[in-house]
Amino acid sequence: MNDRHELTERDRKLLEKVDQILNGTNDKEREMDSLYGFCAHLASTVPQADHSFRQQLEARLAVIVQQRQPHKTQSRGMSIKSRKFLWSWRPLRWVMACSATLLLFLGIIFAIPQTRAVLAAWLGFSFEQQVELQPLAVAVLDHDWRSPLVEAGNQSFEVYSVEFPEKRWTLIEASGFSTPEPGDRVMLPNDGDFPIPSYLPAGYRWQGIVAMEGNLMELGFPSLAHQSWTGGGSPMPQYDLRIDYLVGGDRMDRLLILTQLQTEGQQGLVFQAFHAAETHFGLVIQPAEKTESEGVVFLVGSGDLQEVIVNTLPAWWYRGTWNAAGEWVTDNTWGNLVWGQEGRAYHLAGQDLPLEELVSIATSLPSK
Amino acid sequence: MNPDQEKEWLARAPEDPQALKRLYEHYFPRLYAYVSYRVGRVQDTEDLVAETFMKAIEKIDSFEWRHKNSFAAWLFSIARNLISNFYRQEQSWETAPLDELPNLQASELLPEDVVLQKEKFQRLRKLIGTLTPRQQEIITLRFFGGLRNREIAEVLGIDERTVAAHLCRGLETAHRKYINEFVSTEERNPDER
Repeated sequence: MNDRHELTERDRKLLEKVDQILNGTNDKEREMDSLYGFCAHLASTVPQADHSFRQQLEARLAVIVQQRQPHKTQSRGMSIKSRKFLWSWRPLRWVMACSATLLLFLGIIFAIPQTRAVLAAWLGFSFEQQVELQPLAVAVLDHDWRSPLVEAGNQSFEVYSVEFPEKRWTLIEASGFSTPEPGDRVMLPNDGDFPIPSYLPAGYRWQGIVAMEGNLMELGFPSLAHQSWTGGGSPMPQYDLRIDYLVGGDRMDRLLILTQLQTEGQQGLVFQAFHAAETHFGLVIQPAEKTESEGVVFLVGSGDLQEVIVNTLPAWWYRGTWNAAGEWVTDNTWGNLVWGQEGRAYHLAGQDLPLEELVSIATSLPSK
Repeated sequence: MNPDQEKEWLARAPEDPQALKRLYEHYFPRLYAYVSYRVGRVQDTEDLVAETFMKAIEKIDSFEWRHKNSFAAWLFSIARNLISNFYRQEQSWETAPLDELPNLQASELLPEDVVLQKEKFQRLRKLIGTLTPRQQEIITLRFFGGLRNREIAEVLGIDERTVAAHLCRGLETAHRKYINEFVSTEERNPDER
């Protein structure tokens, strides 16, 4: 070999070809008797690790990293334990709810505004009332998905967005797909399920189910929504929140949407659910700034937020929705009901439906 | 992964399992492929890959970000040192039985295809084993570790131009041997296949 390691023109071409092959920008080289073809052959012969080994090693490394910060780990562990402790008492709730003592207790609780937030947190969700929808969500609502979303500074966020078509009745009638049966419990991909309320207002029918990142076509349900994700800033801690939508409506294509959020076991993240621009639903996910603000928060306007009872438990009712400009609209068209059941939060939104109808739908949700 | 992201994940990795996960996902396949070619057997590869990542975590506080490729160079330097120790203790670059070699494809294959693929890996590994130690090192780092010549130069402590020259000579030699040993023989004696 040349001691001074001078590169010839041929060497430079070879190095360029190697770069192209390894970058995947050259797939022409196939002939093994050519030097470049040999390089392509070599580059394609890549050993793969056993999947279980890869996962086990990753888990071992994660444990080592967690052990490096004993104080934070302990605090996090205690927080999880505390939450599990609360949730483990859930089965007792309905027993307590059957007693007049609880009703009396709730009555007292409702009378004290400061305790509402604590109660909401115990149920797994809370509300955030504001004058305008946060800029991030507005950016998503207003966004043309053919271009990248302009990030707001370096803040970390993810936004999950679902948009339903306006003319659903004709679509359902023409599609020949199956539709969710009232009173049924639909098994979703990834071990989830969706209980279908058995009550529907006259003229309405359930039309389909949309699961976050799940394709329900194989279950026979029509694809009724356009789903999209966007995000920015630092990568988000891992989370496993599920959000699913049960879509319903009548011949006039008035929308009835039941949103199911799996709220248990979430730590360090805020999930802000919103409904805007008639057929647009979404979830803004951001790191929690304070531990007490973690979990699911419903973003609602500054109007009335009233406590009602669903299945003897506290629920919240309000009118209005956000428009595409992020302004709160209270034209009395949209009625919303939010309640908790079996470790999940539910948001029912309907057009031109009185509170009694929404409560009837909610109370007909099958329980396990 | 862009350099800014990597820098941020590196800063968080000592205490944040998610940042570590990102780095792991990025570097694991490359490290595994590189170590596989260097040692052959799956069991040895797994041991060395695991030890490399363990050492990297142990020492990550001492890692100093200097440029966008410095972490890759640092990580592969750890792996290379462990492989050198392995060979000091475990003899030489030997041919392992097929069933102890890694698969080339993650998806499930028919048993006969698995054997063919392992033979292909064994043939290429053997071929690389006939090159000079430096050429072996550079080709495996470039082709399977995914390191650029500048990073390889940093790992080996040599000039980038020297890396390029060794890479070219190594590939030419390996190709020539491949033609002589496999392609030409098969073309000349098709009945013997």
